[in-house]
Amino acid sequence: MTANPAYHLLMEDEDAQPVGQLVVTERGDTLHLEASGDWTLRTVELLDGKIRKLEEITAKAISVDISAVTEMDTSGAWLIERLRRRLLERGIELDVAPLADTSRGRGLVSVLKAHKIDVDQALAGSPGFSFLAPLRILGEMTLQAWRDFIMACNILGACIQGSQLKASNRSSIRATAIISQLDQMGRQAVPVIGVMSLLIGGILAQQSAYQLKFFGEELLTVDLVGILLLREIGVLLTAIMVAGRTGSAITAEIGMMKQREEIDALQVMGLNAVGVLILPRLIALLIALPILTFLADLAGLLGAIIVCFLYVGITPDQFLAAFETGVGGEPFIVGLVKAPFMALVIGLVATIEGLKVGGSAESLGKRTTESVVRAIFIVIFMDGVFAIFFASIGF
Amino acid sequence: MAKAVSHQDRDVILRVRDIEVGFGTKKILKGLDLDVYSGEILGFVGGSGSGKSVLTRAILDLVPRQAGIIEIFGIDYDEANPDTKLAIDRNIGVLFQHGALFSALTVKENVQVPMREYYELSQPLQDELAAVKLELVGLPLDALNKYPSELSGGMIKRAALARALALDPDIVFLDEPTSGLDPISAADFDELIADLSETLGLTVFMVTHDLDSLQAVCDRIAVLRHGKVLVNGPLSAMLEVEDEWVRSYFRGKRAQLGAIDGGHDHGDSTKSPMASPRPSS
Repeated sequence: MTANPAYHLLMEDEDAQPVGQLVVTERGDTLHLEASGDWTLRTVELLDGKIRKLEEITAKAISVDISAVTEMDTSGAWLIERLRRRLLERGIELDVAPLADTSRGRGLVSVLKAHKIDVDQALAGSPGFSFLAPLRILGEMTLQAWRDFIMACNILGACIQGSQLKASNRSSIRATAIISQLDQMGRQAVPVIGVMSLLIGGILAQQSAYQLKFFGEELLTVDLVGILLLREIGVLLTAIMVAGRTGSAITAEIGMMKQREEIDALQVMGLNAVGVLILPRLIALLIALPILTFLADLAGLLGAIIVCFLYVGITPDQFLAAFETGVGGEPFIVGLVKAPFMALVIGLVATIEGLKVGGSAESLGKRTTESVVRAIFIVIFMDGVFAIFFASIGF
Repeated sequence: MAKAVSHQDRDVILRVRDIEVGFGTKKILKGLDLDVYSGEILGFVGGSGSGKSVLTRAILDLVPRQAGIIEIFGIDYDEANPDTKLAIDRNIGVLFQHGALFSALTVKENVQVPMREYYELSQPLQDELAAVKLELVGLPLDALNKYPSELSGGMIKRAALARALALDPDIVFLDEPTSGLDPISAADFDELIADLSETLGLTVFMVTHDLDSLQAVCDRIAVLRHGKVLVNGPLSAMLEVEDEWVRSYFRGKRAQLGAIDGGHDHGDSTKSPMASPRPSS
C-alpha cells in the first residue's frame, strides 16, 4: 500500500504541494489534455475556469490523460466528469485514460460516470426580485395577523371551555403549576421591577421639578409625577418588562416542547395541552402583572418622594398631603385596571408564537423575538386605546 | 468487500493508547488501547453506557481525557501545532447519531459549510460539488434545497454523511449510523458505507448496535467491555470468546433472529452468517 495521501498533506507546507495542471496540445483534429499535479478541493478553483473554457471548444476528438495526477478527490474527478458530459451534449466524445485506475481518487472518475448528477437542480436558485413582492408580503402579513387573532380567540376559548375536558378527575385548574409559575413570573421579577420603577419615579420627579421651578410651582411635581406614574408609566413599563422577561420564556418553553414532541406526548396521553401548559401560565400572568404593577407604583412613588425631598426640598409629609388632594385614588385604579388585559395579551402572544415554532433552532429564536416585539407593541397600542376609553367615560 | 484480515502490513491510521476518561469519580475508560488500520471498516460494539460514545468523543477531542495518547495519521494530536491540527480536522469526517445538521441551513448549505470555510470555491462549483456528494450518498436531488426539519430520519443520516464527506476525509467516524432506520434502509446504508469506503478509500470507525451492519460491512469488530477493548477481530473470532456479554450479544436471541432473516437481506451470504462467518480473506 502506498503512503496515505493525508500523510504527505500533513508533512508538507501548503505552498510546497503540487498545483493542479492541465496542458493542452493539439494534434491535427485531436485535442490532447494532460492532467497532472493535485486535483483536489485545494486546487480545483483554478482548474474550474480552464475546464469551463474547454467545454466550449470544437474538436473532432478530445482525450484526457489523468495518469500523472498525484492526488484526486471527488471535486477533481467531478471536473473531468463534467467536461465529459458537456462535450457529450454537443456530440463530442471525451476519452478519459486510464479510466479504470485502481489508485485512490483517479478511479472516482468512473464512479461519478455511473451516477446521474443533475446540476441544474443544484443551481436552481431562489426566485428573482419582483415589483409585486412588497404587495405579496403585505398581503401575507395581513392574513397572518388575522390567523393570529383567530388563534388567540381559540386559545382563549379553549382555556375557558376546553381545559377541563380530559379523562382525569383532577381539577382543571392546577394549583401547583400556577404557584410555581407565579414564583417565576412574579416573585423573581420583584427586584428588577422595583429598582426600575424607583429609578423611573426619581427621574420623572427630577425632570418635572426642574421645569416647574421656573414657574415657582415645585409642588405641582407631585400631581404630575403621581398621575403620570400611576396612570401610564407604572403599568406600561411593568408590562414591557414582563413581556421581555416572561413572554420570551413562555415562547421558548412552549416552542422547545413542540420541537421535542412533548406537546404531542401530552395530547396522546389524553391531557389537554392548553389546560396543562397554557392555562396555568395565563392565570399566573393575570395574577402576577397587577401585583407587580402595584409594587411598581409604590416603588415609583418612593423614588419621587426621595428625589423631591433631596432636589427641591419637598418633605415626605408635604408630598403625601399634595398627593391626597391632587392625585387621589383614581389614577391608581385606572392603571391597575389595565394590568390584567395587558397580561392576557402578553400571555396569548407568547403562546401563539410558541406554538408556531418550527423545526429549526433559527425558528425558535425568531419566534421568541417576535413574541417580545409583538407583545410590547400591542401593549403600547392597548394603552393608547385605554387612554381614549377612559377619557371618553370621563374617568 | 473482501479485505485482508492480517493487518501486519497495513498502515495504522489511528492509534489509541492507554486512554483514561472519567466523569467525577466514575471511570468510563480504563487504559483502553485500539488500532484502526487504513482502509478498513471497524465496527465498535459494547453495551449501552459502556463508553462507546465517550471513546469516540475522546478521540475527536470533544471530551477531556485524564491520560493516554491519540495518534492520528501518525501524529500525536496533543503535540500537533495549530496548522497540523487544522489539517487533521479537515481529514476527519463525523456522522453524529442524530445527524447534527445545522437546522437553519438547507441540505446544500450544510454540505457546503466545510468547503466554504476551508477553501475558496466559486458558488456554482460549490453547488455542483454539493450535488455530487448528495448523489454519492444516494439522496434525491430535490432534497438539496430542503431544510433538515423537512427530511425523514434516513434522509437526515444520508445528508449528514454527505456533509461528513464534503472534504473527502481519510477517516470517518459514524455514531450508530443505522439506528432509527428500518431494516431495509439500514441495509441500504450499510451498503452505501461499504461502497464509499471502497471508492473513496475511506477508513470507517463505526459505533453500532446493529448485528446486521457488523455482519454485512465490518472488516473487524472491537468489543468494549469494562472500559477496555476486550477482544477485536473478525466476526468469527467473536463467536469463540468466552465472555458472558459477548456470548449473549453475538449468540443471543436477537442474533439468532438476525441469522434467520440475515440470509436474504444481504446478497453476499446465503448461508446463516452466525454458523459460518465470512471468509477471512
